[in-house]
Amino acid sequence: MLQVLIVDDSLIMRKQIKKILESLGHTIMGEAKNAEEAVSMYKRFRIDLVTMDISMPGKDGISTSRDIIAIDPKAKIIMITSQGQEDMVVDAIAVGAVGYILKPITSEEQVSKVINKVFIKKSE
Amino acid sequence: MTSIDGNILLNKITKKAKIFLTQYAKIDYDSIGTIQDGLDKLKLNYCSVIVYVHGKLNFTVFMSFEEDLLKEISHTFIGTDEIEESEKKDIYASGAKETINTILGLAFTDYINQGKISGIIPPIELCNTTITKLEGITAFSKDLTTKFGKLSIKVIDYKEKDI
Repeated sequence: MLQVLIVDDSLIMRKQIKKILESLGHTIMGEAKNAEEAVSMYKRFRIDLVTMDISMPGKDGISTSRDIIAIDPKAKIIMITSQGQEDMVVDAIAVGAVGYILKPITSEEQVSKVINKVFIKKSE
Repeated sequence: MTSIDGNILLNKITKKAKIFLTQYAKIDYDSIGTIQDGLDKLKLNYCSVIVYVHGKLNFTVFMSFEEDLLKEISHTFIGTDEIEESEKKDIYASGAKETINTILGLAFTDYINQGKISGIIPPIELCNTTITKLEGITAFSKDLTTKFGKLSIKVIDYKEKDI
């Protein structure tokens, strides 16, 4: 099971993602609501996976992902994105994100499928 | 010059709002009411959020929630109605913001991909207030009525640009 950092400025999205990940058996190591908190928590804990809101006020999810990957080039970051943000997803993948989940998140399966693909790919 | 008027924008949003309510929040709507234009004030319900959309198209969207409806949607997001008292206000506010973000993302994917919309400014929350409209500005409004209360959607289309 994975140690996860959730990065999202929206309290309700942090709660939703936390509930889903915990029900899938993962451990939430931290919840960050901006880039500064995310980088600080990433340095402090051993993190296997980051879920990253692509659109945050101030430094967005792409720049924050770039900061985390600068610290750890092997960081596994999954972007949380809405319809209409396809260009941002492309930019995030270019920076080093390994997958994305499209909102609204309607089931645990939607999340577990993406995580499984990322970690099966990693172990291949 | 080609332009898209506020009614078309409003209809696109309303269509996706219906899908969001019924398929995601599992809340049926009973009726849709169109509010006549010409109001000089926009009355906003229990909790409202405003988003400014810019680019070749340039407009503002208000979504105004009655209390029980916003609570029901928020509980759907987090999968429970057990919320710490100290967190309720923030949870409901972020529920309103996520709702408008999700609906607008669904409604305007085509315009974003076509370059008609270049950005959506993150939502701002306003509660229990009335906004006086500026002279000459046209508002288009629809209400979706559910058993938990109304979701009011308002579009203010500032101007027309070549698209």
